[in-house]
Amino acid sequence: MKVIALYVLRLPEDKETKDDSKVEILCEADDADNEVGYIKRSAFRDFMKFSTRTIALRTDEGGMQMVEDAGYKMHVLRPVDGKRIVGAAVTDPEYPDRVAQGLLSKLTKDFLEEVPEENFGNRAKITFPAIHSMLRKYQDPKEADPIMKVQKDLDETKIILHKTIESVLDRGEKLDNLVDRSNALSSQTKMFYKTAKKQNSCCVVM
Amino acid sequence: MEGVHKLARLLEAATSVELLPGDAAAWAEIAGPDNEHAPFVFIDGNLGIPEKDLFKVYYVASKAFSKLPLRSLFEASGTSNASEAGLLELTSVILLANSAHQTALNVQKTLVLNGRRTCQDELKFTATVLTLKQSSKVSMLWHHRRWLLLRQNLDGETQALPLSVTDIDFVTLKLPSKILADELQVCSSACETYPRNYYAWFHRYLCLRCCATRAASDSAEHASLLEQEKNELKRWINLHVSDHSAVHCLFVVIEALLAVLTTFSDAEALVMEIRDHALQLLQSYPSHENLWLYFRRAFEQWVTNPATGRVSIPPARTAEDEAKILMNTHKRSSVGKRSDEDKLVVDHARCYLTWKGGKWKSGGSDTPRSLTGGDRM
Repeated sequence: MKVIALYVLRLPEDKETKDDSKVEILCEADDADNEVGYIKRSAFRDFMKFSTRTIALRTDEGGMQMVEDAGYKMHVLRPVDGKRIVGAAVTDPEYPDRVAQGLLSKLTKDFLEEVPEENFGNRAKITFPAIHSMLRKYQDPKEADPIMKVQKDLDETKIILHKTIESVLDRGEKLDNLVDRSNALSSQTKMFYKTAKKQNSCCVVM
Repeated sequence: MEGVHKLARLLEAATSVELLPGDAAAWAEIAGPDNEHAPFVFIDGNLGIPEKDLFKVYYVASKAFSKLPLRSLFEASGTSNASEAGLLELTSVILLANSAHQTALNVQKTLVLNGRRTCQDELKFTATVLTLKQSSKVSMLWHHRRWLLLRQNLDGETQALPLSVTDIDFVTLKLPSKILADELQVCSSACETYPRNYYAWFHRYLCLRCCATRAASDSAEHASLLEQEKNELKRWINLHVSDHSAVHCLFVVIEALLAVLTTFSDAEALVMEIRDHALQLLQSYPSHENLWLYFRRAFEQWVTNPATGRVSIPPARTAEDEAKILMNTHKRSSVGKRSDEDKLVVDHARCYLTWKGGKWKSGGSDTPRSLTGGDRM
């Protein structure tokens, strides 16, 4: 089991938009170097961000979504009164859901406590090194044992599970179109998605 | 053939190799406009091979290979019309795409036997190929590696070496602990690349048996490697809770360590350590069958006196209490409908208690050690 990436995202003010590039990434940490080869790394990173942003845009306040797709699991948590902040984690399917939930709850809570809101608009001003230590520490969920046992705070969150990213999307939306139209994905990543999909070896599993 | 030469040269120079889906056009942006290595991508020593281009090059290489007069190479004189550099280029490319190509592997073995290629270089090449997902699970490649280690170990001796090596031959080798440590590392990488990699775990198992034999003959280095491996496997199991093979290998290490430890209290401390580890994991992830089997095995080890092989039921708070606690916790925990996970836990706990009831009599009397054949390891 492993945590491959952690992100702190901020949703755009416009609640109706479906443009994933409008979701800002305020803070990130990932282990992509150990997950995929050198050449595929940037496309892999791009795609993880695209997936979590896409899910974040469709997550209600106070809600959590867990999407298993392509050999990975994306967890997205949007705290109540969180100033449009969303926590996201990419893990493997074996990683315990409860721990992921606890991890994101802690990530967003700590972020909101430590980073002043006026800095949200300027990524250069955001310092939150804890995201890197959390990524390292939570590789072994047993080390986060207290989190696994504490259920009370977390039971209020409404959790939705999905078997594919497609099922997160609104009726009529297609993932292929979203990828194609995205302003946040490089043409290399889009090409990578198309080829991997054609070969049936899914986009992010190599 | 230009493609074959290019790929073989890049392979020689590369520090990492990966396969890329699609063809060169799909990776043109990363490769850059003036890519001298086209159709391959080569950046900072990292080689990326688009799959479609690999298969094109493989086709050319295997055709050329099949036309070579290989018989003269395999015969005692060791000379052939094919230059060995040209041969190696062909076999390297062939093995990259098709690691189970036995003839290509045997040509490489023959070049090693004839002194035209060092074991070192060949081991480096196989380690590189083993980083590719589809190749990391090919049994012939792991066997090839064992042959090379056998060969390397016999260096300086002139006896003829067959093109095959049995598991027994390997396990009785006197390999230095550094070499074995490197092998274990190669196995770990292969298992990260391809999870539940049977042949990688089997190779690891043989290396551990080899290490155990040396440790039992009083090699402190090997005993120390076993100790490190125990910690490494425990760490691995923490992160891969469904991995049966890891648990199996751990018990090979434990039994080897028990054979080496000199005092009863050391042996007891070791089995307690494993039992506690298994129990901790079980409490954290009770729905994983593998952990229940780990616990059973650890429990059996714990109740068996290492000196006599006889069993005595442990005192006070027994594992049975643990299983009952888990079962009851999950029966009570769900509000309304019991979750799938809870059902699994209850089933596993029930199986465990049935197994325990069948094997061990309560009451504290000594019972002869039972066979562990019932465990599905």
